[in-house]
Amino acid sequence: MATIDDRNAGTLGDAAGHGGHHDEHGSYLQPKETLLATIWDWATTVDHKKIGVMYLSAVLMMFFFGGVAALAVRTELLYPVRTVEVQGVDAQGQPTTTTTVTGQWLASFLGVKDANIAQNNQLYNRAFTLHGAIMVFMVIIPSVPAALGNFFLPIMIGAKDVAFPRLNLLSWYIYVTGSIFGIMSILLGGVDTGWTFYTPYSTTTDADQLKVVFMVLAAFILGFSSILTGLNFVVTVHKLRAPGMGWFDMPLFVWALYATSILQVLATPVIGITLLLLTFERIFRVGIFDPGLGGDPVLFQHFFWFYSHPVVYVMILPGMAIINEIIPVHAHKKIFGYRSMAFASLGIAAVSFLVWGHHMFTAEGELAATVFSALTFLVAVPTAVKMFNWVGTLYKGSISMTPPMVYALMFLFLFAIGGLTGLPLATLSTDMHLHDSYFVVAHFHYVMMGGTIIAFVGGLHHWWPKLFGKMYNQRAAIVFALIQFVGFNVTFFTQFILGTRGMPRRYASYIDEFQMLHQISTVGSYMLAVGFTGSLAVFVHSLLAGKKAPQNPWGGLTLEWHIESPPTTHNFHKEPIVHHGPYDFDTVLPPGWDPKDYPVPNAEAQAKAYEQVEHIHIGHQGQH
Amino acid sequence: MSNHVLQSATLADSAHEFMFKREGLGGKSYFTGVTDSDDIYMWIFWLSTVIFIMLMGVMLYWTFKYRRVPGTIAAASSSHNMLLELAWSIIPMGFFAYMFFEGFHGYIGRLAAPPDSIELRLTGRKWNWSAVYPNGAETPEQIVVGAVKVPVFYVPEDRPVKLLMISQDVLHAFWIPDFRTKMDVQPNRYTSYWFKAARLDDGPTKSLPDGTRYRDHFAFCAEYCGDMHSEMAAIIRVVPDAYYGQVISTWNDAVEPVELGRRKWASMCSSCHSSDGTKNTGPTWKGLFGHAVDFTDGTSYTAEQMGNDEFFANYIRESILEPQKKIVAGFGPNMNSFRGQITEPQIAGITAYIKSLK
Amino acid sequence: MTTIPHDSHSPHGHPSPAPERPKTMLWQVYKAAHHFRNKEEEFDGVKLGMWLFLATEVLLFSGLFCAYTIFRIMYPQAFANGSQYLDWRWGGLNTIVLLISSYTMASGIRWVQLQEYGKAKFNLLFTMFCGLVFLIIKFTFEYTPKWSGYFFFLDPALKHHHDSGKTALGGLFHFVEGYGGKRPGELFSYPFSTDPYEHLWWSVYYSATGIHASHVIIGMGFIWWVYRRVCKGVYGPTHYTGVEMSGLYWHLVDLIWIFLFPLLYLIH
Ligand code: HEA
Ligand code: HEA
Ligand code: HEC
Ligand code: CUA
Ligand SMILES: [Cu+2]
Repeated sequence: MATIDDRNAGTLGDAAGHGGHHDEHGSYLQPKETLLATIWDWATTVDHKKIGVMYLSAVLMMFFFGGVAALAVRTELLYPVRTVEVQGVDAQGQPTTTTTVTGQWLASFLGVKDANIAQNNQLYNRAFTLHGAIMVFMVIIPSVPAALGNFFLPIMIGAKDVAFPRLNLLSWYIYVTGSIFGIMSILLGGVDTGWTFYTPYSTTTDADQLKVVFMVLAAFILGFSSILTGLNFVVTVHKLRAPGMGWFDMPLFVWALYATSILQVLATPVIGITLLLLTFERIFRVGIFDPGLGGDPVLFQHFFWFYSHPVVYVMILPGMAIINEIIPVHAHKKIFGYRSMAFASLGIAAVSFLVWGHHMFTAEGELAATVFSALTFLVAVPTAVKMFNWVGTLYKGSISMTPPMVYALMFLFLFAIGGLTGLPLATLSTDMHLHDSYFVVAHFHYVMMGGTIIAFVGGLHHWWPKLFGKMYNQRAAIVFALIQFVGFNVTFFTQFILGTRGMPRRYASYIDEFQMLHQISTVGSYMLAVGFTGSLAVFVHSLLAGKKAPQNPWGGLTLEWHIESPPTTHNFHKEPIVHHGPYDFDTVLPPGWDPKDYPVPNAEAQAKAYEQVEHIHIGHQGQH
Repeated sequence: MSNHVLQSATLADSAHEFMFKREGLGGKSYFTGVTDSDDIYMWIFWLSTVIFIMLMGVMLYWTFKYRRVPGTIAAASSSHNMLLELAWSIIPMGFFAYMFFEGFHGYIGRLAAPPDSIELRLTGRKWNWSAVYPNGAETPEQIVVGAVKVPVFYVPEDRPVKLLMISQDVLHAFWIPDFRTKMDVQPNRYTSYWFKAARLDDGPTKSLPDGTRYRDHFAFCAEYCGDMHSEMAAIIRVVPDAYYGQVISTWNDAVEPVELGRRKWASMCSSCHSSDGTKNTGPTWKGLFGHAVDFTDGTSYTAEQMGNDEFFANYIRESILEPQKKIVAGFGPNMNSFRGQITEPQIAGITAYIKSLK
Repeated sequence: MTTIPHDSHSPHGHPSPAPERPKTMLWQVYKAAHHFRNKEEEFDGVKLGMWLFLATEVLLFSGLFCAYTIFRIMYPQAFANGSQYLDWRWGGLNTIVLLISSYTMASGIRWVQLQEYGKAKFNLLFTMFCGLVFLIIKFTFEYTPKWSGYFFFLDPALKHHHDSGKTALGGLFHFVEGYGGKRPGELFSYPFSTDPYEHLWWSVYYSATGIHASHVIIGMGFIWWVYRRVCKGVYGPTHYTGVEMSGLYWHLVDLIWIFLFPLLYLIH
């Protein structure tokens, strides 16, 4: 059961006529002669790996900004705003009472003098809008697909690059442009519409200013970037799979990203037109969403969620994609129910287009609400299938407690809670209570943060050695993962209780009885900050002083583990030919591994796998 | 008699018994028609808890039991199992179907109000609520919550009350957590739901100064609507039926213009205009009479003009009906027209009230 | 000029200092990008990508069609009134112009494949010209008059709507007193409108046709780009990806108009 074979050597378009021969075989990270040349090289690169790394840095930076905004939100919520009567005596010895307003942290932190409640609230509203918009449009949507997906999807299917490398670079620049628009809107003072831009609020707030338009255009432009990435991946998966790799030989990472890409391509245009109309609405007051002119604000919600519901699966499917890789590799065991996993990804993608109305149970008519509630439960079925399959994979595995595995287990724990709490939201009568409460906030942080972001950070740990060719301190990584885990639950589990008790979301202030829970939650968010700063430190340390990473530190079988760490510019020296499935851990010796460590029972397969890997190794050295 | 303004509502005033406490602490919903929503919630809660614990238990047990021993590999085991996979796709479907039907039931139950309901016409605006009772009365009462005053709406115990809601500007939503129900309040169509407050005997109560028992429930705005979204609350006060009838009829009594104006201010204007000189979303009304104002377009009215009774009355009237015409310097165009929301006598009352704020 | 020196980097017009080499057309030496196995595969890939992109365009417009349907159901009278003011003749003329352009686009591709570069270039230019005609009709005879309150009618049957207006140029221009314009949303300032929601019709009309017009412009840009490349000899019988793709795009732009035309101009 060989993995790579040189039978078709030279069939890839360029091998012969290409100049920089030695470049191709050096690490893609190799700098050019001068710093300027290196920067230019990166800025104009069409190499999917470099583009992936550029996305990665941008996404992490944005995650940091979004996180800072979240901390501002949480800190403001330490104290409710209230009037306090202070008793005192004046110069004449007469008793006095002065009333002051307390609990306005943001205004005093930002140095706004004598802020009244409205001004302080305004700052708060900007903070959470900023947080939501950054996290959704600039972090979580591009996180896995555009960063890790860009890097690994082509390698995993044995391709040299994505189908349209220049388009790939273009979508990176579009992403940057979109982010700049977002930043511009922040520099103009920030917007306070919430990430959902509900009309008529979004069309009337700060009516004389352009910042809302900038933020809306930012989301619009980022949407284009997302469409182009998705389109690129679909074509890549269709056309560039290595010989021997049928649809059902693809790693599940690729399957889930494929489903994601379809969602991106099909859902994003709708938000495009919606945001365009919103811009028209603001600039020309066309009235399509404006009740004052006969338009319908609920129509906006339908349009918005028609995109934004599928988009929550654009967020989670890539997270699941990573878990699909981490669990079998670190449990050294074939994934349970490969086909049902692949179909579940497609199923989720398909059904997710039919459920958008569940965000509007309290706004739409009865019939629509009923239909959407019923359909929503359908989405939960393929998700449940995935959960069971992951846990099933652990059975009789050979499980290493590496940092990626810790993250994967954290994902299962947190995503299960997030998903299960989606159920009372999908149930009509309970959603009438829970809608727009902190219960919803907790639900989506459990799925987005506890699901996708945790999976993303897990994936980063999983592929870090491959990305940069350096190992990191695994023990420290696990410690910080656990801090994140505890901090996360402290932050967000309390919010479920807040929600059921009646705490509405997007509130700068609240009644006193919620204070205790809010304070616990805030403490949790500081723990999260510590945890993530720790992870960052681990990575920085690894870059500066990490040991050189072996080719295959965890024992994976997918193609990226067959090549060097970090990969060469052209990924493969010869076109790989795939002879085994991505998870045949019971029959194939992982490339680069010693059979003494990993005694494959089937001697023949073991020998053959070993020989082939050896072969590649020799081939590689022979060319130098 | 009913003009008392209670200070600072706290937990003790509001009889909060929330879902989570229901099983653990024996609390309950105060909307008598709607315990089914708590039932299905608790049902989902326990089902999820059981599934979650089983799943995590198995996960942790296996990760421990099958931890890697170097020099070995995983024993071969089946990589799929049709029966198992079918089972865990189909069994959840059964659970889901049950959740859907129960949820549907509770939802429809809250929309269709019984024919003998008392109808409260509720208007939401940036950023307060006002309610008109069947006899045309409006509540003059307010209570301090946090840093703002919010209106107190009286409702009788154990009688169905239907809320017919509309918004004057952007979207709002009226949420009464104790009744487990909310509905969006939209500017271009009426929405409604109903509730029946539990009898006062069925839980803790407090007493008004005259000895009448009551129970307070918070109502919050649950759809983001701008700066003071978090201050847009109301109190639903459940009182005995007879007391309810009496109190809303006294609200209808003729009052002095200044008092009428103060009530209107309390229910509609106080979220933006203070009476004590503090600057808020809108300019304070204190000392407005007889003081010069500057406008953003560069024009201004002199102190003499503003001290002229007739000129002042017209200015106030225009500010209420056409607030966008002249924007006071230092403020944004944040006030919406109150045309159709307010009668001429009420405008006169407001004018009188502003004059009284020296 | 359909052939160029092998060294394509030498600036146009300046004789290349390099020694003369035998002239080959660029398409003859075209090789697929290095990560594709061959040209055919690349072509298939690009085509798949293009179809996906067209799907996103259709979805973009479907939002507008949705808005159209919903408002038509909500305010049938407003839509009936508004659509009266669209002259089906202008719309029809534009439809014909676009249909012709689609035909010339298709022939352009065909001629490229047959190496008839002169004809190909003429067809491409003509396609762009049609796009221009479309835009001119749209802007000068439809947008501008409506926006600024005079109406330019070919259809005498519509005149009776404007009895209140003055006329000029032998009755072709109908000015409306006060120069109220048929504009979208709040800008709507036509004083004699009989339905309070007519401005919504115009909102939908201007949004839909405006976004469509911007697509016409983008499409013309694409065609200009391939035209330049045809001049350089990039395309030929074995390599014509770019022409084919901009053709697909142009057909889509045309197709969307085919849907917009009856919805806006014909249904009253
Ligand atoms: C990553 C993103 C993500 C994911 C994956 C999900 C997954 C789900 N979501 Fe969530 N959701 C959001 C992101 C996401 N959501 C966001 C961002 C919002 C708010 C937006 C805003 O308003 O700002 C939101 C809001 C939201 C609402 C609207 C709430 C409201 O505003 O009133 C609803 C209502 O139906 C809902 C439902 C669900 C359901 C049923 C799932 C299901 O897919 C979950 C399925 C998973 C499971 C069920 C758990 C695992 C399964 C098992 C352990 C098996 C056994 C289970 C049983 C047999 C019961 N979500
Ligand atoms: C991906 C999505 C995402 C993520 C990750 C988060 C993360 C967090 N969110 Fe956010 N949140 C949203 C999406 C997200 N949120 C959305 C969509 C809304 C709704 C907005 C709206 O209503 O419009 C919302 C709203 C929201 C609210 C409700 C506000 C309100 O309704 O009034 C709160 C309140 O507690 C909150 C808190 C937090 C906290 C404490 C974190 C923390 O987990 C953040 C922790 C992160 C850090 C502290 C940064 C540290 C990072 C580094 C140091 C870099 C190192 C990186 C590595 C190497 C890994 N969020
Ligand atoms: C959404 C907040 C808001 C509400 C509610 C509101 N106003 Fe105002 N009001 C403003 C703002 C902002 C201004 C200043 C800008 C302007 O002149 O329009 C203002 C200005 C005024 C002025 C002119 C004040 C001056 O200093 O010259 C008057 C009078 C007034 N409002 C009356 C009312 C009355 C009466 C009500 C209730 C029935 C009311 N307002 C409710 C926001 C509000
Ligand atoms: Cu009103 Cu929020
Ligand atoms: Cu959703």
